Amino acid sequence: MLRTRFAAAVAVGAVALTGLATAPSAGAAAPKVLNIASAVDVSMPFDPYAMSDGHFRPIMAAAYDSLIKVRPNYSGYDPDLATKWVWKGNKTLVLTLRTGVKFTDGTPFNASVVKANLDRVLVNHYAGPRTGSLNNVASVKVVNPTTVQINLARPDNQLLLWLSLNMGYMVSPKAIATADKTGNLTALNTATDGTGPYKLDWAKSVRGSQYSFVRNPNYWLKGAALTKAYPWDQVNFMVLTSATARGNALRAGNVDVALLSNFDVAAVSNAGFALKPWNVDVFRIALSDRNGVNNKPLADVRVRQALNYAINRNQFGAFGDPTSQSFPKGVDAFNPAWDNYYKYDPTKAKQLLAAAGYPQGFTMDVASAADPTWSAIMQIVQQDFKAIGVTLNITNVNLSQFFTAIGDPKYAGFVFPYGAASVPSVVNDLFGPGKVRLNPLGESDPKIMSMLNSYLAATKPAQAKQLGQAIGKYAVQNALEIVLDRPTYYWAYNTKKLKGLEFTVGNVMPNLQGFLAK
Amino acid sequence: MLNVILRRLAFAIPLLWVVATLSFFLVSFIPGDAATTILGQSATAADIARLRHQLGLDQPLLVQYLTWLGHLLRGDLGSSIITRQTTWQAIAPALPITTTIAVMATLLAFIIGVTLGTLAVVRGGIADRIVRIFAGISNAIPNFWLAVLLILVFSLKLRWLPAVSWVSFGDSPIGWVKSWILPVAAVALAGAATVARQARAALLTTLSRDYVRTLLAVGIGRRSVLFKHALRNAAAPVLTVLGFQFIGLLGGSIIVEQVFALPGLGTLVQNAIQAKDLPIVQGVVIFAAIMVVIVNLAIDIFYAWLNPKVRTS
Repeated sequence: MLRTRFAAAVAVGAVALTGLATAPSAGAAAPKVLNIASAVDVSMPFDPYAMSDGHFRPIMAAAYDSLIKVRPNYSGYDPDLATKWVWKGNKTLVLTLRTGVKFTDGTPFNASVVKANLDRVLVNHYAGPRTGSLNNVASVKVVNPTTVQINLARPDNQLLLWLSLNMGYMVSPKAIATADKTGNLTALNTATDGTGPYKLDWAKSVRGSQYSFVRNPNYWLKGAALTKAYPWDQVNFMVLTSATARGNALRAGNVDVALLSNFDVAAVSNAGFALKPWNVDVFRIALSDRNGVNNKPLADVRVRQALNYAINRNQFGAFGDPTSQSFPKGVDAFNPAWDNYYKYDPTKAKQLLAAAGYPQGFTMDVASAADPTWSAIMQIVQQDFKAIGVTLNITNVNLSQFFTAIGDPKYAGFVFPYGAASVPSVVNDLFGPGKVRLNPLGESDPKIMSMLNSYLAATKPAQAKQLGQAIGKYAVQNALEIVLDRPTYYWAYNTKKLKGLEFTVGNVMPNLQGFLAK
Repeated sequence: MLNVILRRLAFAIPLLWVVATLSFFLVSFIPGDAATTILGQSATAADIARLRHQLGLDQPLLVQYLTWLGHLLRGDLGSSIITRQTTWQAIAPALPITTTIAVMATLLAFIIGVTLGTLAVVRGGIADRIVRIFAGISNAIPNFWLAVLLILVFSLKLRWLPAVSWVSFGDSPIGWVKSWILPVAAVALAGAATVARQARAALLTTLSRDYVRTLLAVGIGRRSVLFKHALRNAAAPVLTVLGFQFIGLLGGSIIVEQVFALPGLGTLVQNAIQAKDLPIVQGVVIFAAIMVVIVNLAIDIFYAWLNPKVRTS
């Protein structure tokens, strides 16, 4: 008898374990759930000012509305919380705000809220990964409840872009009131409080594993317009930092969309998933000692040009699009002709080295990371440099200590993929004054900084484009760095749920609306 | 017995202090700090300096240590520099995951190991050889490799079990069971092999003792001798191995948690080390040390229960 009961229990358990016991009842409309593999753990305060961009963007876009929306191809801007904006001269921007908008805590959105958000940086000096983009903003003035005026200390024609990214995502004043002494909004440690289409459901989330977002009942868009813009009833971000785990999760049906390792592409494609290649970063040897303080040869532009001519970039075809230019596609400083500016020419490279006084070559050290793709590319570069007499020593550094390690002055440069989609971001981060993370030795280029100031003051798009092109040309002509390729990242998705992915220029991950429902 | 427990607990206090102090200074030797992690690659030096000041990271290391120790003595383990949650809030959701895997894997290793070890001794011959070969092979298989293999078969081919992630018992008991079966299987195999070897050796030693011969000579059945006397006497070394297994699983779960993308203590401490999130590293280390003390104490109590001589010594 006991044995029979035990056998029955085992049978029931087996049925349950194979999932039959959890099948949904017929006729019930199943909620549309999207499971996104997140390559980073986003378990920080759910505060757009504390978050980075990149992998964090769809999470921010789920819970928070930005003031302005940048179009995916960077062709212009669309309204979001601001319905209109007008420049008065090149140092004043006036925004007209949407009415009838409420935060998830019920607080209404208005001009005072915009000021309270931006003043976290301008007045309280809160520092986050993207707060530097408000460096040119002097103050915010509430004109009336639906109008706010942003005053600049210096012209900054990228302000609309900054207001469409982290700094434009608006948080409830009730959450802002919970700031601790470091400016951290304690209310957002396990919750979101925005006006966005979704809100974080902490009860359904597991920190470090899954973050679930459910519809925000207060969202200002309703009915068919809402379901068209945001078709998913629930969006889960599954934290899978290992690329292998992401590939496995996709194939096992645990997630619907994932960023793959290049080595898993074939297996995932063969399993019936659609692939979307995306070139977002620019892979380079950033010459942190381009002024030749510790590596004298690099001070001579002919040496830097020689290093660029020495590389046969066509060998990188399997990894991405070869290029010689610093700026990613879509920004004003990009020009397709400069992809091939340094056409492979080892003879010319040797001539330039000889003219600079280094006919026998020289030795330089660079820092890299033990990434299989980086290593494969750098081995090619090492061989090409050897052919012109330059010995390239590569030290692999643990990624967690990377930004500290590259500050060692013995390194002439470091290997890094970086793809900020704005001219000032690239210029400031790589060539700007001060020891910033991607310019660890603080060797600035005054000429390009001066060109950047002119660029930022341009109010007309055509003028900005012209000045941006001048910056791009200066960077490539003067070989400020050794640019290698635009790496191809492969995303894969479940075609039963998604009909495609739409990326925004310069971001590794689609915006929330870029996960196109079938 | 109570004296033994109190003595052990008293010894644990300096032990915990040494462990915590060592880990504090070891982590501080890692280059970089949490401020650079938080602010990202576009941060200016001024921003980093301001945040370092706000977080107290610009204080001399000894001052940071004493401040931390002072808080610790008041029971305050501090808060994560990155996520801003308290250390306990960070550990609490990770703890059931790692503990579930460690407990289930230890239980599985115990059941399989003792069964096989006993079988090897009782049956002898081919059975013994098979058990020894199984133990040798199982010990040689790395758990991360086995984990990948299990995912390939049970998740990708058969689609019976999830490849990644964790479901809590409260959300779905079935999902909970499904989420730990593969990780437990991956880490339990080597443990089972070790327990089988230990059980076999201990049982053989016990069965060769004079009192066993005497018991058999006075007519007590072989089965009764084995299960009532020999197994109990052979249990002490097996328990020791199991204790080590459990402790090893608590501390060594990083790799298997990575493969199955489980947000357990291993993942928590790994992320914290990479981000130089010192309070979390400290919290997990102290917590793990406490667990080691508790498990060792439990083993001692078991010894005392099994062997009256221990109780009186």
